[in-house]
Amino acid sequence: MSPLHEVMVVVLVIWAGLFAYLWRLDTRIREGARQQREAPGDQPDDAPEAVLEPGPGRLGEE
Amino acid sequence: MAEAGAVFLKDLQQELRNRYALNAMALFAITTLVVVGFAVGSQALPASVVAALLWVVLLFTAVASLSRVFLREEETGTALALRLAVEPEHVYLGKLLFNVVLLGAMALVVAPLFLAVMQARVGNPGLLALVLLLGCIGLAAASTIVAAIIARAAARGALFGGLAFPLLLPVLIAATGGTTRALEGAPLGAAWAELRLLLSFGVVMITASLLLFEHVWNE
Amino acid sequence: MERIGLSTGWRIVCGAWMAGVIAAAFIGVGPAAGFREPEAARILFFHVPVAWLAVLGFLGATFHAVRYLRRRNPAADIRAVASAEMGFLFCVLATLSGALFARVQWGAAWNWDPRQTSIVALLLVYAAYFTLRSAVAEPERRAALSAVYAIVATLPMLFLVFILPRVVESLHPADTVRSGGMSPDYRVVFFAALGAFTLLYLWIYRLRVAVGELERVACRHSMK
Repeated sequence: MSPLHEVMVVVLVIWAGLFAYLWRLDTRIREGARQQREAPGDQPDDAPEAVLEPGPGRLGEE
Repeated sequence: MAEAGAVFLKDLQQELRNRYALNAMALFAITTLVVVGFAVGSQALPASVVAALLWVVLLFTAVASLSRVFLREEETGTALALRLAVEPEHVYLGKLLFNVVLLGAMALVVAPLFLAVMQARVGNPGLLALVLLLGCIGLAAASTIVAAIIARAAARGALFGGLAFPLLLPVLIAATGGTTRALEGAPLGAAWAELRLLLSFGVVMITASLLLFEHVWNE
Repeated sequence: MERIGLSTGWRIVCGAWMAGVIAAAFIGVGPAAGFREPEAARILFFHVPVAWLAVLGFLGATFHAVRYLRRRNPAADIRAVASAEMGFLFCVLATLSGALFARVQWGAAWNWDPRQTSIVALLLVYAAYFTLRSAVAEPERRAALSAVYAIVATLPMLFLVFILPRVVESLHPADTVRSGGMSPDYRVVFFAALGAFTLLYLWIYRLRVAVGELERVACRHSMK
């Protein structure tokens, strides 16, 4: 194999590795995004929320 | 406009009163001069080298002293009052003017001293003066906006040099070129490219800073 | 918001395209005349696109910086950092490949050639940008300050990258791409390489943006 071919093979191997890594990264991030959408993110808190209701105050008779 | 002048005068008064930056600059400049002079000895250096060294000295002087112009306000707590009293653009202009004057005054002293130490002959003093003026304005313009940015950040001094230097490279390149021409005695026209660059750099940097300053100031 | 990374189809296109470019660069074209080392001229298929993308990354960062300052939209800040990180990555690659190329073609890895200097200056701007970001704790302030810095740095950067090499004597060949100084087969591979690297850039950029968005959402939830 001429030196040119050798360099090409080296570069191709590097690219193959990079490509595989990116593919894996892509897949894992998609997975992470899907999990985040479905998971506890949308559950309501345990703490009581502030509620706006007319109480028995002076204006409550309105 | 008057407000900018007021900001400038206030800073000037403060500076003349405690002379903090002036002292630091003077000490730095003198020390650097001595070091460079000692290192060079009595060798006759080509004009381009003398020019480069001069601007290195001015650059480091600028970095050493122009960064504090906003820090003082933050540290003493007067920043809030300034925000309430004056429009951002005027604050910027006042501080810019202060930095230009500070650096210009220092350059006025340092440059002749430096050239004397280097035993350099100045072919075209007018051109040299012009390059120094425009160069200092450029240095001050970039330094002022960076000073404003770091005043709102955490790690002050070390950060300023790192942020400012890449921005100042064009000034350095153009000013060094222009100064070389001036030392060689070339006519004004020969340094036209450098002068034009310095002028446009200053104009664009000041304009951009005016537009962006409010985003920094009001953070 | 946007879809993440690249779709499966585009990923395969990217992989194949780049592999094709690599093959073509080494065995598809012959040596280039006019170089000191004609065989080694192939580096330009990798070096030049990467350098262009380094500049593109910075321009992207500035673009999103302007967007951020106008609307204070956190999504813009995420994209600004992503562009900056991409630009920085490609800038490092450009500097290294450039030094390699210089060693082969001009005899020394560093020559203070204006383009070499400008790519290092760009590296310094990126480094300054990230240093600034790391020095500010609050997210909004961090976004605003770094946005201002990116915009302020645009003029010096444009000068150093585009004007300086034309004004000062440069070892770099001037405008070979545009003025047609390349043989047809080299031109084909060159533009193919440009496309491949741009696609790669886009892929990594979109992944980075997705990570940024995920972090932002996670941060918000953890503050409840």
